[in-house]
Amino acid sequence: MMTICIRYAHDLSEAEDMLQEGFIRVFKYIHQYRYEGSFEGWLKRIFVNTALKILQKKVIRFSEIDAYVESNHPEDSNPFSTLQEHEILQLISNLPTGYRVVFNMYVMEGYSHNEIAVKLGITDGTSRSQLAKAKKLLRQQIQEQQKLSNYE
Amino acid sequence: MNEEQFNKFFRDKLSNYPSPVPDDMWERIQHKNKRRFFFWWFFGGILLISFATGYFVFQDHTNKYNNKDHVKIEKQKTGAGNNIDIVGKGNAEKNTLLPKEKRNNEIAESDTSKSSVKIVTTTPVSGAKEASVKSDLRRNYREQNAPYTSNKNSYTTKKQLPENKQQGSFETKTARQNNTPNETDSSAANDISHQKATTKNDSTARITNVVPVSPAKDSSKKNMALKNTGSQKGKTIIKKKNLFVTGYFSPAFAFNKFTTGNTNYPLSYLNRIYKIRFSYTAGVNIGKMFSKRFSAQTGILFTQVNMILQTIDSANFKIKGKYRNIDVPIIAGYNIGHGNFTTTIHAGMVFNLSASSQGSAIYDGNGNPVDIYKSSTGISLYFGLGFAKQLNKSINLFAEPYFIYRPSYITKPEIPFKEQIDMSGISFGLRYNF
Repeated sequence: MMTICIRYAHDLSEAEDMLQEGFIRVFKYIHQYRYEGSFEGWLKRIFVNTALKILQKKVIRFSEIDAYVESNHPEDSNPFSTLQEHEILQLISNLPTGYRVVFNMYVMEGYSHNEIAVKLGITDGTSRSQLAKAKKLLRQQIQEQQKLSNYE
Repeated sequence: MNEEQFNKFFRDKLSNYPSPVPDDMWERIQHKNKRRFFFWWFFGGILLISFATGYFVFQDHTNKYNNKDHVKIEKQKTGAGNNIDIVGKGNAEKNTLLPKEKRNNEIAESDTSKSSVKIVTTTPVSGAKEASVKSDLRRNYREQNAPYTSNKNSYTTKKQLPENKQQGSFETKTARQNNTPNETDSSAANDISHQKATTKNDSTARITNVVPVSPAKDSSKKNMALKNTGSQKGKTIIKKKNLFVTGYFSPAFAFNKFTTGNTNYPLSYLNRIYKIRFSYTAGVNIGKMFSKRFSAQTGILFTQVNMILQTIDSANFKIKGKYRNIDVPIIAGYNIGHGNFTTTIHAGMVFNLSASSQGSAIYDGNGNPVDIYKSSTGISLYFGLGFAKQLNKSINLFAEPYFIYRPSYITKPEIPFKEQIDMSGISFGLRYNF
């Protein structure tokens, strides 16, 4: 659960707040668990919703762009292979909030763009554009990290 | 790596990755739970104390109010120990101020043509009891006519009267105003408006007292008096509780004013990024009528100010912001209408219990949004003018234009600019009278 919170949070302290709030909600709504589906799945849903609620209380900035920008990434020599898990988490945390939320919901949680749009109160196109930008930014960061490690 | 592979890479890497949890996390969860528990008890306690205080204060005032109009009649009956008939009378008051002969004539006419307030003891009373009855009658007269007589202090106490007048006679207003002993004696002895009829036995007396009441001005008091006639002796006097509950909703306009000396946050910038949109208030009050005119009420008031926050960055992104308040208003009212349609002037104070916000257009050095608002904004002032239409015996429909002035700043002290929000709107609601 902590990993989920770190993925959605901007920093560790925000992630801890999410974890704390998430557990409080789990205890509050535990009686609503119907033993249908896995308990882990139910827990994950609670923590994702808690994280979204906390982020929405502050602000989620979704850059408004008119059209969906397809990310045209260059073919690289798989710089991903050397990445460690904590580095990946750090890269996701460095994304702007809007990018980070949509990326997590689509890639990690498996929500569709339509579901994300409804949940966050944004348009379908905004969700797609945020995801494209997030992926583009992640690729750039990974490649830069790869270059730095090559120099070292 | 294509899109699908990219997604799969992240999913595989992080799906089972365990992140360390801080050691004190469990303690923090417990602590926060306790704090929430305490908050709700505290909030409930405040509400309970407010209502209890309000109830006792209102109850006390009600007793005083009822004492004036109801209890004195009851006291009179029990104090005299006799049946007392009270009948309404029209213009006797002015007669007491006229010359004696003319007054006699007019009274004689009015005795046959117009009804008058008569308090008649139908059973014999002793001298001491008689004096007690008269004293009560004088007090009753004084209280009933206090707002309408030119000289409220025209009556004197029994002790100030001459010895031979203390039993079985009244001192009239005319006599005291003239302040002449001879006239006092003669007018007191012969005054038709306050007659004494003595019987053969000095220890018993039949007292007929004409007490003037202005029926037009004081019809309600007369009606109450009529309910307490001797023939209805023993009936319980119904005391109105005069409690009421109101529920209302109001579309509102909020006006935000900025004060800034910081060049990084000029007024034009602040006005551009904080734009207030449609707002609303809603609430429930419980109140009490102290008299026909005066009332007071308290309750819970919820306010939400909706804003459009425009970040001034490359994205030029707009987001909906909300500023919410939970308040306890304490409002006094003065009713200037009557009948089915009433108008009430309201004024009072609004005590803020909590304030919260959602969304921010200000960011710190790390790009994180900053919550600029205080968690409590202190005391505000409320002014309103209510128009109410009676739908039936218990329910009134009302509309009330109002203005809430918040003299204190709602922004935190460390924020480089200050903001105030005032509100104005029209409340629509229902009032239920118990």
